Order: sequence, then C-alpha cells, then structure tokens
Amino acid sequence: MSNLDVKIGLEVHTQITSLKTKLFCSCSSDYRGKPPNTNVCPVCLGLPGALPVVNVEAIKAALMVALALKCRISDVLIFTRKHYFYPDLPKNYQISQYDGPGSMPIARDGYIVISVEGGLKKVRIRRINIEEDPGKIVYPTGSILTSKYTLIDYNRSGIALLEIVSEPDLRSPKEARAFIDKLRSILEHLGLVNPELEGALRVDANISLAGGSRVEIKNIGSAKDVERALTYEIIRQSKALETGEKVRRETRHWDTVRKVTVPLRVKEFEEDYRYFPDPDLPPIKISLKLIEEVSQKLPELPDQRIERFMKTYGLSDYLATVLVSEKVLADYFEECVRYCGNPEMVGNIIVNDFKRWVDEMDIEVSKAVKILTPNQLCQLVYMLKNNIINIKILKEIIPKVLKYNKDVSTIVYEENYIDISNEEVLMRIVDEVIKENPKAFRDALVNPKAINYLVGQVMRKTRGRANPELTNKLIIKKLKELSGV
Amino acid sequence: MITLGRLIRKGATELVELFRSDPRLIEEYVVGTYEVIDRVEDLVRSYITLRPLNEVLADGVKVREMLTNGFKGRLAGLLIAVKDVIITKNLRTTCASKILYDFIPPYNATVIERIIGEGGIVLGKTNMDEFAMGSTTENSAFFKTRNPWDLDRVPGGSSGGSAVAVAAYEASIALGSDTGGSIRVPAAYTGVVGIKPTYGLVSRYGLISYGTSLEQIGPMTRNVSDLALLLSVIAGYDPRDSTTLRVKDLDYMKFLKPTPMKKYKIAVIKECVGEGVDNTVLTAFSRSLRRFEEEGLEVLEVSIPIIKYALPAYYIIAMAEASSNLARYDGVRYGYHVSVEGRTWDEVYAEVRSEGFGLEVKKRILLGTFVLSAGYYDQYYLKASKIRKLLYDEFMKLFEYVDVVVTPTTPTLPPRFGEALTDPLKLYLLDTYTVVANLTGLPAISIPSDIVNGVPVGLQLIGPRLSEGYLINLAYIHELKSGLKDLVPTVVSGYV
Amino acid sequence: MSEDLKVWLERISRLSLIRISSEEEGTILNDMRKIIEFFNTINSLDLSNVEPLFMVLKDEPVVRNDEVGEALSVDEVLKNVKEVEGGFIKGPRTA
Repeated sequence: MSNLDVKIGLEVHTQITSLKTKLFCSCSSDYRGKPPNTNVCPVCLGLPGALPVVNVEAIKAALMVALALKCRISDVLIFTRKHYFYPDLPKNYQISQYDGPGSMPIARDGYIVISVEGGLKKVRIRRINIEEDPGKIVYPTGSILTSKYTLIDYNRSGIALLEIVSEPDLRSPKEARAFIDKLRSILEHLGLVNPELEGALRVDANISLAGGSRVEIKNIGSAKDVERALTYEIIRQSKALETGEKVRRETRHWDTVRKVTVPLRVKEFEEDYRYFPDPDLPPIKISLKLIEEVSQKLPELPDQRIERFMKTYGLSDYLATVLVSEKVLADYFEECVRYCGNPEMVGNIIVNDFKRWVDEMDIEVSKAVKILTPNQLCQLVYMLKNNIINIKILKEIIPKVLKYNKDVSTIVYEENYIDISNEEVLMRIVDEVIKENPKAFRDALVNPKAINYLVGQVMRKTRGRANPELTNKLIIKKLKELSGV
Repeated sequence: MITLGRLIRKGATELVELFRSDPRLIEEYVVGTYEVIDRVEDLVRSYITLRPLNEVLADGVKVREMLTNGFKGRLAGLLIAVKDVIITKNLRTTCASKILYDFIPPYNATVIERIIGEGGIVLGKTNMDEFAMGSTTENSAFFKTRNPWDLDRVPGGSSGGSAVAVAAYEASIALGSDTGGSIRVPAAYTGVVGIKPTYGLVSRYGLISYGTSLEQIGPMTRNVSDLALLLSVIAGYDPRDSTTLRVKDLDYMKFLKPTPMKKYKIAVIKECVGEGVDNTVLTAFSRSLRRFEEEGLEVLEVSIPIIKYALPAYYIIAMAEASSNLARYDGVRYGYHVSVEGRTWDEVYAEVRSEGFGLEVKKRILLGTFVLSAGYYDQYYLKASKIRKLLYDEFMKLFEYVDVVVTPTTPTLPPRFGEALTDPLKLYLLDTYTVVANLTGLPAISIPSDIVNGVPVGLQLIGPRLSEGYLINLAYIHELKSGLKDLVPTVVSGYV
Repeated sequence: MSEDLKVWLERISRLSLIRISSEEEGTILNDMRKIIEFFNTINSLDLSNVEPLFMVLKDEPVVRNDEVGEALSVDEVLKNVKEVEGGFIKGPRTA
C-alpha cells in the first residue's frame, strides 16, 4: 500500500469527566449505569421554559486544554445553536460553538507533537469547541437499520463535551493513532478526562485519497479502532480507484464487530444547521486574569514529562514516549522507581514486557498495575539484578502473574524458577513458614524434633528444592534471634 | 352582588392591607371573584384553564392561616391570572396551542415561585395568541377572547386573556409576556396598565420562549400602584436565567408620588405621530401630552428616521428565534403525539408539527427558518441585528438629553374581529410603536390615555434602561390627572 | 430569491419539518411573498460598517458552580410522555 497522497483529519469528542455536573444544568455528570431518565432536569430534558446556565469549571477545563494544545484563546466565549432534528436531541438543536460570523470557538490554531518514524511531527489543531452531549438511543428490535422504533434515555443529555478538531495533517492510520494517543495522554495528565469510562472519547475521522472525495467515518470508540477503520478505508478506496470507480463523498459507520466501514443513510439534501448565537447565553469575557489563573494550575504535561524522564532517569526518547503515552503507565513507572530505583531496567520491563502483555491480554492498564504492583515489579528487579533469575525467566513470569493474578513469589516457587540455595531468598520462605506455623515454632524452641517439622514445611513449599542443611541453619538462626540467645 | 363587588372593586395594594388586618375577608373575595367570572366569562372567555373554586378557596384558607401567624407576604390573598405561556407546576400550560394541549409541567417558573412565596394565588391560565404570535389573541387554537368594552372587538394580543381577566374583574392582577408589544397592546385596548420591563429585569425561567432576546414577563393591572407592587415581587436576578441583571433596588412602590420626582424631559418621536395614526388616537395623545405639560414638564419633538426599519427588523429576529425555540415540539417527550412505531423521525415530527401548530405559527417558523438559512443569514438575520444596533445607539444618544419618550401605544383603536387578519402585514403593523422597546431592551409602559367612543386608547412611555421607577412615577401622575384607573368596561358594569 | 417559490417552500418545510397541506399552500405562499417583500425593505440600507447587536448588553456574566442539584423524579420526567417502555421514552426510527 503506497502512500496515495492520504489526507486524514480527526474530530475528537471528549467528555470532561472530571466535572461533577453537566454543562448547562446541575444534574450529576455520573450518569453511567443509572436507570433510564433518572438523571434529568427541565433544562437537559429541553422542557418548555427551561434555560441553560454554563458550568464555570467547564470553561476552565476548556481553557486548560486550549493552553496545553498551544492554541490562541478567544477573548469572548460565545455559544451557538446548531439546529437539526434527532430523537436524542431534546431541543432539536445542540448548544455548541461555531467558527463563523457572530460566533467563534473558544480556541483555535494550536498543535500537538507526535512521534513518527524518523522523528517528531507537528499536527495542527484547527479549533476547540465546548458543546453538550445528546442523549442515548437504544435499538430494541434488531439493529440501527432494522429496529422498528427507538428507546431514548436522556441521562447523558447535556454532559459537557470538548470537540477538538485537527487539520488534515495526518498521513497514515498510524499517525492518526499516535495523535489520538497523545491527545488522550494530554487530557489524562490535565486530570480532565478518564478515557477508560465508556463513551468518554469518540472520534470522527475524515479521509481522502489522491485529492479525491472526503469520506467521514463517524463515532469510533478507541485509538486502535481509528487505526483499523482508516486502514480498512484506504484499502477500500484504493480498490475503488483501481477499478476506475468514483469514491463518493459520504458518511460511514465503523462496524467494530465485522471490522468494516458501512455507509450510513445517504441524505437527500444538504444539511443546513442555521447557526446563530444562542440568545439565552450572553457572551462571557475571557479575561487575561482567568487565563493566568488557569495557566498557573496547569500540571506537568506529557511533553514536559517525557523530557524530564529523559533527563532525570536517563531514559531513551522511545522509552519515555511510550511510558508517558498513558498517564497510568507513567505514574506506575515513577512509583516503581521510587521503590527500587533502576529506572532504565524498570522502564524496559514496563514497556517491553508489562505493556506488551497488557495489550495482548486486553486488560486495562489501571487494573493491571494493581495486579503487578510496584512492589511486585521491584521484586522482579531485585531478583534480576542479583542473578536469581535471568531475563528469559522474567519474561515468562510477567504474563503468568497477569493471567493468574498471583504473586510474583508464588509464581516463582510454583514454577520452580529459582535455585533455592540463595540465603536471602530462603530466609523469606523460612519466615513465611514460621508465620504459618506458630505453634510448631514455639515447640521448636524446646524440642529439636520440631525443627525437622519446620524444615519439612519449607521443603514442601519449595517442592523439595530448598537446600535442607541451609534451611536447618536458618531456622536455628531464627530461633536464636527470637529466644534472645 | 353589591356587597361582593365591594371587595372586587378594590385595588390590589388595598386588598393586601385589608387581608392583613382581617384574613377572613379572603374567602369573601375569592367567592366574589368567581361570581363575576360566572357571569362574564362566557362572554369574554379569558381563561383556558380555570381552577375549581374549592381548590382556590383551600389555597385562600392556607394564606389566611399564614397571615394569622404573622406572615407578611406582599401579595397575600390576591388572585392572579397567569398568561398560559408561563409554566405553572401541576397546572396545565398550553401556550394556546394544540401541540401542548395537555402539558402538565413538573416545575414552576421563577416568577410563579416568587408570587406564591408572597402569598399570591394563581387562579387560572389565560388565553393568548398561540405561542405568543399575534397582536389580537385571534390566533389562539382554542377560542377567541373578546374585548369587554366592545364584544365585537379584539382585546389585543398576545396577552389578551390576561388583559381581559384584569379589565373584567376576573382577577385582581395578572401576568403577561411581551415580545413585540404583547403586554402593552392588549393593555391599551382594554384600558388597563401593563409594563414590559427592561430586558433582564424579570426572570424568563419558566417563560415558554418565542423571541428569546426580545421578551419579558410583566405585570398587567387596573392601576399603577398594583403594577408597582407586582413588579417589585417578580423582578430581580435569577441564577437560573443567564440573561437576568443583578439589580440592587427593587422597590418600585416608592415611585408612586403625585408629583414629578425629577424635571423629566419628554420627547415625542416625529415618525410616530404622522401618517397611519387614527385621528382619535392622535387627539387622545395630545390630551395626554398636555397633562404632562401642566405639571411643568417639557415636551419636545425628536426625529429617529431609522425607526421605520424597526418593524421588519423585529419580525426577522423574532421569527428566527421562534423557528429555533419551537424546534423542540415533536411530541416525543410531551404534547401532541402520533404513534412512532415503524416510522422515521422526520416523518413523525413533520406530522406532529403540521397537525399541532396553527397556521400563523407555521408561517413564522417557516420564515424564521428561511432568514437563518445558508445564503440568507447575512441578508436578513445579520442585517436585522445591525438595524437593532443602530436603533439601540439612537435611543442611547436620545436618553442623554431626554428622560422619557412618549408615543401612542397603537396607531388605531382596537380592530374588530377579522379586520386585522385580511392581510398578513396588517396584523404586524399593530406593533409599530411597541417593537422598538423590545429591540432595544428598554422598559416601556402602557397606560390608559382616553376612552373614545366607549373604547380605550393607550399611551406608551419608554425610558432608559432600568428606569421603571420614573416611568411608574409619570404613569401615576397621569393616572391621577386623567382619573383613568380601575375602569369598568360595559360588560362588567352590572356586576361590580 | 430567484428560486421558484414552491421549491423554496419545500426546502424550508424540510428543514423545519413543517408540512403544508395543499389547501394551506395557496394562502401561505401568498402571505410569504408579501412578508418577504416587507423584509426586503431593509435591503436599501447600507450597513456594511455597523456591528450587529444580538443581545442587549450585560455587565457581569452569569455562571454556575459545579455543584450537583436536584434532578426530576422519573415519574415527573415521564408524566407527559405518551409512549414509554421500561423507563425509556419510545421514539421513532432513526434509519
């Protein structure tokens, strides 16, 4: 697949999940899992007479993103009505922003830097909008296309969204993915978005080949799927071009199960959103003071963190970038290093082994770090450093820990990974046995025969691989310590 | 009848005092009001929804008890008629439209909360032009309201029902809404007082939107004192309405002084007293001017040529906003409904909206959609908004050396039924003098100027932003001099 | 407006989902023509140097603190809904 002059632009819709309430009303933003239509008020239900009032924290969140994406910030915040009829839109217009006369997005003309083959690339951000989420539609009989009617739940209606639109600067599905990953990491580092929440991040992708018509693929739910959908589209469109078929300008839907894009209903006429400034929401001045205030509170952003990782921990560009691509991962790395140092070794283990298996097993990173905790990982580091295990063995241990949710030490012993004549290691097992057999230990203080019992327990635990003499020696050492002799 | 009439004839401010000293009078007052309603309602038809007497009496009893326990509500015991465009909790609210024929709101408008908080009692919802679109109340989907001064004439609109309820003594005070003159025009036609407050003074939370940037809820009463009282209660900042103003002083009662509180300079706009105005109206207007001059106030003439573009600019903006505000009526969450199964949304919505909306509403939505559509936005909506800016600037300049602008409220006497509907523009022209206040957001009051051939004529006063106090002062003075307060129209004269 | 009036009406009808019956069509088209002519009286003005005024100005913005308030009960939400299924609001097809 040669580079057929591919142009890709992305529109990312992200919920500001850190907010407690919706964008224009004080309904809770925690709508997931609630019974339908139990998280609604006159405003987000669009009842006659209800009026919107903007959430001040949403404005600050938008400004944070604007600053992180190096955008030009508008000096006034104007909301626009975007008109179209649809069952999930209670007012049959969406309060949003528009880049046109009488209105403007909250921020414009920024960029994100992504890592591509051969270096770094600046991807321009066209604009950032604040807007409200519509409700949710369920298709009770059949699919979107076949269901005889719909069921609507307005719990999500009115949730605060940021729409972040890129210029068509991306040249491959891989770059698109890198863009989403970077953007997601920035939003995570700002503390504004938890991308693991269902529906928190949605992407519309626009792609054109060789200067041809632009195809829009709507509502893709993950960075991975974005890459897949675009890859598929390129193949589909290339085939069409080869056979002389014209590629239609249309909107398609990514079927995440069948892994294909399918055309959505073709509209007979051009949509006309009839934008005009929302008269219920007077323009709000964005003062320099407010921008300053927000700017002071900006946490460390991914690019800064990557630099710091490289400088402070001596990591390679590549390692640092991968670690910082997910905030949970970067946080995990730093915690491990706090525990046991060895940043380069830790970094390599996390990137090459931990992350690799987490991806393959499709576990959420936030869950995986609770299984292979920093403490656990540090045990591996310790063992590796002290030649108790080698790197090959480490690579086998990690997937097993993740898969079976067992301790590192348990896996190590159960799978006979180490020669248990190392005194320190053996001492730990002795300690465990003593803790598990307090009565026997007390007996052993008086009765030497009981020592044999304890030795036996150690042998049992290590499946007979412990050095019996050494074991005996260590148990006696322990007895001496505790009896004060 | 005469004993019942004794309470009904009293003004609201007086009643509140009476009830405070003797709360048991509330019952007599409520019964008396319903007796009047029994006799005149079939003729004038102000109410779309009238609460049953026993329910309202029960409310009255509650207020009586509160008063006995020291409650000092400023509207305690008063019966209020509310235009059916204002949301009332658990009380049907229809906007005089089929599309909301059975809508029972689950919440109260802010103004209703404030009224109830002061002990006021809502007795019913009044008729109006459908979705406030009209100037005669002839566009109601349900029935016509008639002018109690002449049953063959319109009461004005769109707050016709509220105007008549108050004019015909079917309530003490009423709430209306004014997008382009909808309080002032019916006030003028029925001989009552009505004010459109400064934009942002009164909360629109719970006002079913038609022209968002133009409209305000306002009081409609039989005299200026009652207006000042009701305005003092409903005005003020509301955190649920982003367009409300943070105004400190909301006591309008202190402007009820019989002499000018300032040496007001009064301006007459040349373009508002020229052609198109009935002679009868002009005569009444001159009489009113003389009354002010007799108080030692200066009256001068000014010219605002751009004012002739106010009307088309107003309608463009109002219709645009209407097309947007009425998009939500699709029958899915409330209102007129058609079965959805098996049909797509555009089919179902088109059917609901085509059957549920009246013709005038449909026209305005279509035109509003047009002026916002791609390719026409600049030429119409944008340009109309520029005219709005010019008008605003002109009035700001004017008010630098003038305190009040006066005009006749309407160019003609109240038309007979059907007269204003022969031509689409005829209806719109009734708003000629009133739309300016909506476009500029300035406060404007209409008071009775004269009774001509048994039919009232109104005088309009427009002031600078937040000058309601001075308008009330001038209105009060005019009322004293003209004696035109608490008027009794022909239809009611036997009963009060 | 150079389009044929009927075609124009159809487009606006589609955009606003307002259907006009064939009986209403005659009067409506007539009225529209007159009203649009009336609107067109503003064409004679040259306002290229004027800023539009969309809302009469305010001083301080009204914003809301990020604090959870009361929602409607599900009964209140569904009270006016004509077709309900399992707490969901029944709606038309989207395709």
